[in-house]
Amino acid sequence: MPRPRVPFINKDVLTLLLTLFLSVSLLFTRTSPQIRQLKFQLSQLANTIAYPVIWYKEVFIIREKNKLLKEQLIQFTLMNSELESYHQENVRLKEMLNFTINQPLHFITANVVNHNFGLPTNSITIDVGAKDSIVENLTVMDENGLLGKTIQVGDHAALTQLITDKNFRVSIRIGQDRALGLFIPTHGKYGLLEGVRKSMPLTEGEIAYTSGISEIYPPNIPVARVVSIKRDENNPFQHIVVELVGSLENLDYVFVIL
Amino acid sequence: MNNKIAIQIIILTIIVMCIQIFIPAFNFYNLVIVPDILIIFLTYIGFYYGRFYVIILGFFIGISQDFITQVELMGAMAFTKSAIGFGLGTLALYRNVWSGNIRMFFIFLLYNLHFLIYYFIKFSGVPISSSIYIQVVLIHSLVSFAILFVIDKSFFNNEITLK
Repeated sequence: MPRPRVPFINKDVLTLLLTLFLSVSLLFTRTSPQIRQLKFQLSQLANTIAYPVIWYKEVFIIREKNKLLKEQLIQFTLMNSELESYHQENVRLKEMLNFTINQPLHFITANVVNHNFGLPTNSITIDVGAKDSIVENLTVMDENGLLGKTIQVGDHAALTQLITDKNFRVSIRIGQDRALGLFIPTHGKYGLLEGVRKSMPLTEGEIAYTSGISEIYPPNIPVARVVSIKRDENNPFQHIVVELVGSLENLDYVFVIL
Repeated sequence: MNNKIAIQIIILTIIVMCIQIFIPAFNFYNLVIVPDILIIFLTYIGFYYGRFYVIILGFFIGISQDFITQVELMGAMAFTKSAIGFGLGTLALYRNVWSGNIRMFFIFLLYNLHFLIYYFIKFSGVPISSSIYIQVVLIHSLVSFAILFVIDKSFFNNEITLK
């Protein structure tokens, strides 16, 4: 009688395996809560058993990542040294051009004590005055952007003309080319940018900053965000509608730039 | 196993399954326990005809039991009865080697294993204490084993249990 090649694999074992396989297949096609829980327990068991294999693979993955990060570190170190040399070069060039470094802004915080949104001037009153080194024509802003300027100063209070006032104008720069323009308020938080040439590429959402040309406003204070742009063939300038970035609702405190 | 015996076994299986339907159940911790006489039938098949037939018969009996009593756990009884069939078939291999006591001990262990697996599947996700789980398994095994003992003594002249 010929002996089977593998002594433990015989007709009985094969039958057992086949019936067990069929039973388990049938069992796992069910969706009862018991079977769902059983599947969950079995998957947890399989996960526990497979943990060393996963751990072993993760070690290799971490080693690969580590290698990659080291390469990136070297690249960044080289880039950093290159940037450092550019910085030094920039400092030398500025010295050669007698470039003056921008002074940081100094400001004081003031509380808003009165609102006046009626005629003739759209204004607020703040609780700092001449005793606090406040003079006329100082820039007033909040943490988001420009709000206005001081127009009348008392000893302990100052009247501030808001950016929404009809007579308010501010010179701005916008876009990649930093094109010059003029902000004019229209109604509410909206306004127009005038004088921006038609060839200047602009997109909605861009921010207009103070130009720095004026003696009142320091440069690069955010003024307004572009809402819509229209280009008319008969007009050399773009018709740009903007909304203020400074928050005029619920004004509580402001910053006065000295 | 020739055809005549096979047909006899099939008829006997149908009769035992019919009897199983009318076996009275009892209550334990609000769990209905029905003594399993099909496992006793499988014990004799295993003892006389060996592993191959008892595994196949165990599978079909288990499937039928699942289909009749617990469709939501279809395959549970088939799984346990097939697995136990393999063990019960071992009785034929060691028929002349093992003493009656060893055989009884082995059968009792297999019955325990059967109900251990079955109730593990049945109680998955059911908030039940381990103590009750073990008690149910033991009681069910003991009841089935006691019935085997009585049947063996009454109809088979202690063929399995003492010789």
